[in-house]
Amino acid sequence: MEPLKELAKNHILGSPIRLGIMLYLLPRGKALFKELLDVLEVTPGNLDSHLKTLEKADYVEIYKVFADRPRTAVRITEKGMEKTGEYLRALKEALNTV
Amino acid sequence: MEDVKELKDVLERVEGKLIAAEKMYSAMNFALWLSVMAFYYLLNGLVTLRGPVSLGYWMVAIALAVPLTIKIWNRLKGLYSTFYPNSRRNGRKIVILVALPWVVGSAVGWWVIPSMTSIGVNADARFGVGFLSFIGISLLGQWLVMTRGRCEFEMVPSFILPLLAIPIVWNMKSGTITWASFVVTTGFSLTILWYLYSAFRAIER
Repeated sequence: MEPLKELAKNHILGSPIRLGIMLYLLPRGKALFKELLDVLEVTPGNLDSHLKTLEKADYVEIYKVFADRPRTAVRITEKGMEKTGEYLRALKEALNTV
Repeated sequence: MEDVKELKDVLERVEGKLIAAEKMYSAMNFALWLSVMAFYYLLNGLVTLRGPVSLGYWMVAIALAVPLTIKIWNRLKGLYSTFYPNSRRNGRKIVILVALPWVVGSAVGWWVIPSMTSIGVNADARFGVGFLSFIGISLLGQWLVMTRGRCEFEMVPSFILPLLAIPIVWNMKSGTITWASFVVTTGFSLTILWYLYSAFRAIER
Protein backbone atom coordinates (compact mmCIF):
# COMPACT_ATOMS: atom_id res chain seq x y z
CA MET A 1 0.00 0.00 0.00
CA GLU A 2 3.07 2.26 0.24
CA PRO A 3 2.94 3.53 -3.37
CA LEU A 4 -0.74 4.35 -3.03
CA LYS A 5 0.00 6.34 0.13
CA GLU A 6 2.78 8.15 -1.70
CA LEU A 7 0.39 9.08 -4.52
CA ALA A 8 -2.34 10.22 -2.15
CA LYS A 9 0.14 12.38 -0.23
CA ASN A 10 1.24 14.35 -3.29
CA HIS A 11 -1.50 16.90 -3.90
CA ILE A 12 0.75 18.93 -6.18
CA LEU A 13 1.21 16.30 -8.88
CA GLY A 14 -2.27 14.84 -8.37
CA SER A 15 -3.53 17.32 -10.98
CA PRO A 16 -3.09 16.02 -14.56
CA ILE A 17 -2.18 19.49 -15.84
CA ARG A 18 0.53 19.99 -13.22
CA LEU A 19 1.86 16.49 -13.91
CA GLY A 20 1.79 17.32 -17.64
CA ILE A 21 3.81 20.50 -17.02
CA MET A 22 6.41 18.58 -15.02
CA LEU A 23 6.63 15.78 -17.61
CA TYR A 24 7.15 18.35 -20.36
CA LEU A 25 9.85 20.12 -18.36
CA LEU A 26 11.67 17.01 -17.17
CA PRO A 27 13.67 16.20 -20.35
CA ARG A 28 13.87 19.84 -21.52
CA GLY A 29 14.77 21.63 -18.30
CA LYS A 30 12.86 24.78 -19.29
CA ALA A 31 10.05 26.01 -21.54
CA LEU A 32 8.27 29.21 -22.52
CA PHE A 33 4.82 29.92 -21.08
CA LYS A 34 3.48 30.05 -24.66
CA GLU A 35 4.96 26.65 -25.45
CA LEU A 36 3.22 25.09 -22.44
CA LEU A 37 -0.05 26.74 -23.48
CA ASP A 38 0.16 25.13 -26.92
CA VAL A 39 1.16 21.70 -25.64
CA LEU A 40 -1.32 21.42 -22.79
CA GLU A 41 -4.18 23.22 -24.56
CA VAL A 42 -5.29 25.17 -21.49
CA THR A 43 -6.23 28.81 -21.02
CA PRO A 44 -3.52 31.30 -19.93
CA GLY A 45 -5.29 31.89 -16.61
CA ASN A 46 -5.53 28.18 -15.89
CA LEU A 47 -1.87 27.56 -16.75
CA ASP A 48 -0.78 30.54 -14.68
CA SER A 49 -2.67 29.24 -11.66
CA HIS A 50 -1.09 25.74 -11.99
CA LEU A 51 2.38 27.23 -12.45
CA LYS A 52 1.94 29.36 -9.32
CA THR A 53 1.03 26.23 -7.35
CA LEU A 54 4.14 24.46 -8.66
CA GLU A 55 6.27 27.52 -7.92
CA LYS A 56 4.95 27.76 -4.38
CA ALA A 57 5.89 24.11 -3.84
CA ASP A 58 9.38 24.89 -5.22
CA TYR A 59 8.94 22.46 -8.12
CA VAL A 60 9.51 25.16 -10.79
CA GLU A 61 10.94 28.67 -11.12
CA ILE A 62 9.15 31.30 -13.19
CA TYR A 63 11.33 33.98 -14.78
CA LYS A 64 11.42 36.45 -17.66
CA VAL A 65 13.43 36.06 -20.87
CA PHE A 66 13.79 38.23 -23.94
CA ALA A 67 12.88 36.17 -27.01
CA ASP A 68 11.95 38.83 -29.64
CA ARG A 69 9.94 40.43 -26.81
CA PRO A 70 9.78 39.86 -23.02
CA ARG A 71 8.31 36.44 -22.36
CA THR A 72 7.59 34.29 -19.33
CA ALA A 73 9.62 31.11 -19.02
CA VAL A 74 9.53 28.20 -16.59
CA ARG A 75 12.46 26.16 -15.31
CA ILE A 76 12.20 22.86 -13.39
CA THR A 77 14.01 22.83 -10.03
CA GLU A 78 16.07 20.01 -8.51
CA LYS A 79 13.26 19.37 -6.05
CA GLY A 80 10.78 19.29 -8.93
CA MET A 81 12.82 16.67 -10.78
CA GLU A 82 13.16 14.53 -7.67
CA LYS A 83 9.48 14.74 -6.71
CA THR A 84 8.29 14.00 -10.26
CA GLY A 85 10.58 10.98 -10.36
CA GLU A 86 9.25 9.76 -7.02
CA TYR A 87 5.68 10.28 -8.20
CA LEU A 88 6.22 8.36 -11.45
CA ARG A 89 7.87 5.48 -9.64
CA ALA A 90 5.04 5.34 -7.10
CA LEU A 91 2.46 5.45 -9.89
CA LYS A 92 4.17 2.60 -11.73
CA GLU A 93 4.43 0.52 -8.56
CA ALA A 94 0.79 1.18 -7.69
CA LEU A 95 -0.34 0.14 -11.16
CA ASN A 96 1.69 -3.06 -10.95
CA THR A 97 -0.06 -4.04 -7.73
CA VAL A 98 -3.56 -3.60 -9.21
CA MET B 1 -9.27 -2.93 -15.55
CA GLU B 2 -9.23 -1.44 -19.05
CA ASP B 3 -8.46 2.00 -17.55
CA VAL B 4 -5.56 0.60 -15.53
CA LYS B 5 -4.11 -1.02 -18.65
CA GLU B 6 -4.44 2.25 -20.56
CA LEU B 7 -2.76 4.18 -17.74
CA LYS B 8 0.06 1.62 -17.65
CA ASP B 9 0.56 2.04 -21.40
CA VAL B 10 0.68 5.83 -21.05
CA LEU B 11 3.17 5.56 -18.21
CA GLU B 12 5.36 3.20 -20.23
CA ARG B 13 5.32 5.60 -23.15
CA VAL B 14 6.29 8.49 -20.85
CA GLU B 15 9.09 6.37 -19.40
CA GLY B 16 10.23 5.45 -22.92
CA LYS B 17 10.42 9.09 -23.92
CA LEU B 18 12.39 10.00 -20.81
CA ILE B 19 14.83 7.13 -21.45
CA ALA B 20 15.14 8.31 -25.07
CA ALA B 21 15.92 11.84 -23.87
CA GLU B 22 18.61 10.45 -21.55
CA LYS B 23 20.20 8.49 -24.43
CA MET B 24 20.09 11.52 -26.75
CA TYR B 25 21.77 13.79 -24.19
CA SER B 26 24.48 11.16 -23.72
CA ALA B 27 24.96 10.96 -27.50
CA MET B 28 25.13 14.76 -27.64
CA ASN B 29 27.93 14.79 -25.08
CA PHE B 30 30.01 12.33 -27.11
CA ALA B 31 29.23 14.24 -30.32
CA LEU B 32 30.47 17.44 -28.69
CA TRP B 33 33.89 15.94 -27.82
CA LEU B 34 34.06 14.18 -31.17
CA SER B 35 33.64 17.51 -32.97
CA VAL B 36 36.27 19.12 -30.71
CA MET B 37 38.72 16.36 -31.73
CA ALA B 38 37.78 16.47 -35.42
CA PHE B 39 38.09 20.27 -35.49
CA TYR B 40 41.65 19.94 -34.18
CA TYR B 41 42.62 17.89 -37.24
CA LEU B 42 40.70 20.21 -39.53
CA LEU B 43 42.74 23.16 -38.18
CA ASN B 44 45.91 21.08 -38.27
CA GLY B 45 45.50 20.75 -42.03
CA LEU B 46 45.35 24.52 -42.43
CA VAL B 47 47.98 25.60 -39.90
CA THR B 48 50.50 23.38 -38.16
CA LEU B 49 49.40 22.90 -34.58
CA ARG B 50 52.49 22.00 -32.61
CA GLY B 51 53.73 22.51 -29.04
CA PRO B 52 52.24 25.58 -27.36
CA VAL B 53 49.76 26.23 -30.22
CA SER B 54 48.37 22.70 -29.85
CA LEU B 55 48.23 23.12 -26.07
CA GLY B 56 46.46 26.47 -26.57
CA TYR B 57 43.85 24.83 -28.82
CA TRP B 58 43.06 22.18 -26.21
CA MET B 59 42.88 24.75 -23.42
CA VAL B 60 40.41 26.90 -25.38
CA ALA B 61 38.45 23.84 -26.56
CA ILE B 62 38.18 22.46 -23.02
CA ALA B 63 37.15 25.88 -21.68
CA LEU B 64 34.37 26.06 -24.29
CA ALA B 65 33.22 22.43 -24.21
CA VAL B 66 33.28 21.73 -20.46
CA PRO B 67 30.42 24.21 -19.65
CA LEU B 68 28.33 22.50 -22.36
CA THR B 69 29.15 19.08 -20.90
CA ILE B 70 28.13 20.36 -17.44
CA LYS B 71 24.84 21.60 -18.92
CA ILE B 72 24.18 18.20 -20.53
CA TRP B 73 25.27 16.46 -17.32
CA ASN B 74 22.74 18.49 -15.30
CA ARG B 75 19.94 17.42 -17.65
CA LEU B 76 21.11 13.82 -17.34
CA LYS B 77 21.14 14.11 -13.55
CA GLY B 78 17.49 15.15 -13.65
CA LEU B 79 16.54 12.24 -15.87
CA TYR B 80 18.54 9.74 -13.80
CA SER B 81 16.69 10.87 -10.68
CA THR B 82 13.44 9.88 -12.41
CA PHE B 83 14.52 6.28 -12.90
CA TYR B 84 16.82 5.60 -10.00
CA PRO B 85 15.87 6.56 -6.44
CA ASN B 86 18.47 8.43 -4.36
CA SER B 87 20.55 9.30 -7.45
CA ARG B 88 20.07 13.02 -6.71
CA ARG B 89 21.00 12.62 -3.07
CA ASN B 90 24.16 10.78 -4.17
CA GLY B 91 24.85 13.35 -6.93
CA ARG B 92 27.97 14.89 -5.37
CA LYS B 93 29.41 11.44 -4.60
CA ILE B 94 28.86 10.37 -8.23
CA VAL B 95 30.59 13.52 -9.58
CA ILE B 96 33.65 12.74 -7.41
CA LEU B 97 33.59 9.08 -8.45
CA VAL B 98 33.39 10.05 -12.14
CA ALA B 99 36.22 12.61 -11.74
CA LEU B 100 38.48 9.98 -10.14
CA PRO B 101 39.06 7.81 -13.27
CA TRP B 102 39.68 10.99 -15.30
CA VAL B 103 42.38 12.03 -12.82
CA VAL B 104 43.92 8.52 -12.91
CA GLY B 105 43.59 8.37 -16.73
CA SER B 106 45.26 11.79 -17.11
CA ALA B 107 48.12 10.83 -14.80
CA VAL B 108 48.75 7.49 -16.55
CA GLY B 109 48.18 8.77 -20.10
CA TRP B 110 49.90 12.15 -20.03
CA TRP B 111 52.59 11.64 -17.40
CA VAL B 112 53.46 8.00 -16.53
CA ILE B 113 53.52 6.48 -20.05
CA PRO B 114 55.20 9.40 -21.92
CA SER B 115 57.95 9.50 -19.26
CA MET B 116 58.73 5.76 -19.54
CA THR B 117 61.84 6.28 -21.67
CA SER B 118 63.43 2.96 -20.62
CA ILE B 119 60.82 0.72 -22.29
CA GLY B 120 62.45 0.98 -25.70
CA VAL B 121 59.60 2.36 -27.84
CA ASN B 122 59.90 5.71 -29.59
CA ALA B 123 58.47 8.96 -28.19
CA ASP B 124 55.72 9.08 -30.81
CA ALA B 125 54.48 5.60 -29.82
CA ARG B 126 54.59 6.48 -26.12
CA PHE B 127 52.52 9.58 -26.81
CA GLY B 128 49.95 7.55 -28.80
CA VAL B 129 49.74 4.84 -26.14
CA GLY B 130 49.41 7.56 -23.49
CA PHE B 131 46.52 9.16 -25.34
CA LEU B 132 44.70 5.83 -25.78
CA SER B 133 45.31 4.92 -22.12
CA PHE B 134 43.97 8.30 -21.02
CA ILE B 135 40.72 7.85 -22.98
CA GLY B 136 40.39 4.13 -22.22
CA ILE B 137 40.97 4.31 -18.45
CA SER B 138 38.90 7.48 -17.96
CA LEU B 139 35.85 6.28 -19.89
CA LEU B 140 36.01 2.73 -18.49
CA GLY B 141 35.96 4.20 -14.97
CA GLN B 142 33.14 6.60 -15.85
CA TRP B 143 31.12 3.74 -17.35
CA LEU B 144 31.60 1.56 -14.24
CA VAL B 145 30.49 4.41 -11.95
CA MET B 146 27.51 5.43 -14.06
CA THR B 147 26.05 2.04 -14.91
CA ARG B 148 26.80 0.23 -11.62
CA GLY B 149 26.09 -3.19 -13.04
CA ARG B 150 23.12 -2.13 -15.16
CA CYS B 151 23.07 -3.53 -18.70
CA GLU B 152 23.91 -0.30 -20.55
CA PHE B 153 26.56 -0.99 -23.14
CA GLU B 154 26.34 2.09 -25.39
CA MET B 155 29.51 3.60 -23.92
CA VAL B 156 31.58 0.42 -24.37
CA PRO B 157 33.00 1.17 -27.90
CA SER B 158 34.32 4.53 -26.68
CA PHE B 159 36.80 2.85 -24.30
CA ILE B 160 37.15 -0.71 -25.60
CA LEU B 161 38.51 0.35 -29.03
CA PRO B 162 41.21 2.63 -27.53
CA LEU B 163 42.23 -0.08 -25.04
CA LEU B 164 42.38 -2.77 -27.76
CA ALA B 165 44.45 -0.47 -30.00
CA ILE B 166 47.22 0.00 -27.39
CA PRO B 167 49.31 -3.07 -28.47
CA ILE B 168 49.13 -1.97 -32.11
CA VAL B 169 50.19 1.61 -31.40
CA TRP B 170 52.94 0.34 -29.10
CA ASN B 171 54.71 -1.23 -32.11
CA MET B 172 54.09 1.57 -34.62
CA LYS B 173 57.06 3.52 -35.93
CA SER B 174 55.36 6.80 -36.93
CA GLY B 175 51.97 8.53 -37.25
CA THR B 176 50.81 6.97 -33.99
CA ILE B 177 48.94 9.97 -32.62
CA THR B 178 46.95 10.46 -35.84
CA TRP B 179 46.02 6.76 -35.95
CA ALA B 180 45.21 6.74 -32.22
CA SER B 181 42.93 9.75 -32.75
CA PHE B 182 41.09 7.90 -35.51
CA VAL B 183 40.63 4.94 -33.15
CA VAL B 184 39.12 7.27 -30.55
CA THR B 185 36.87 9.04 -33.07
CA THR B 186 35.68 5.64 -34.37
CA GLY B 187 34.90 4.53 -30.80
CA PHE B 188 33.02 7.76 -30.11
CA SER B 189 31.09 7.52 -33.41
CA LEU B 190 29.98 3.96 -32.61
CA THR B 191 28.90 5.04 -29.13
CA ILE B 192 26.85 7.93 -30.57
CA LEU B 193 25.26 5.56 -33.09
CA TRP B 194 24.42 3.04 -30.36
CA TYR B 195 22.95 5.75 -28.09
CA LEU B 196 20.73 7.02 -30.93
CA TYR B 197 19.61 3.47 -31.77
CA SER B 198 18.72 2.88 -28.09
CA ALA B 199 16.87 6.22 -27.97
CA PHE B 200 14.68 5.31 -30.94
CA ARG B 201 14.06 1.84 -29.52
CA ALA B 202 12.97 3.43 -26.23
CA ILE B 203 10.55 5.75 -28.06
CA GLU B 204 9.05 2.91 -30.10
CA ARG B 205 8.60 0.43 -27.25
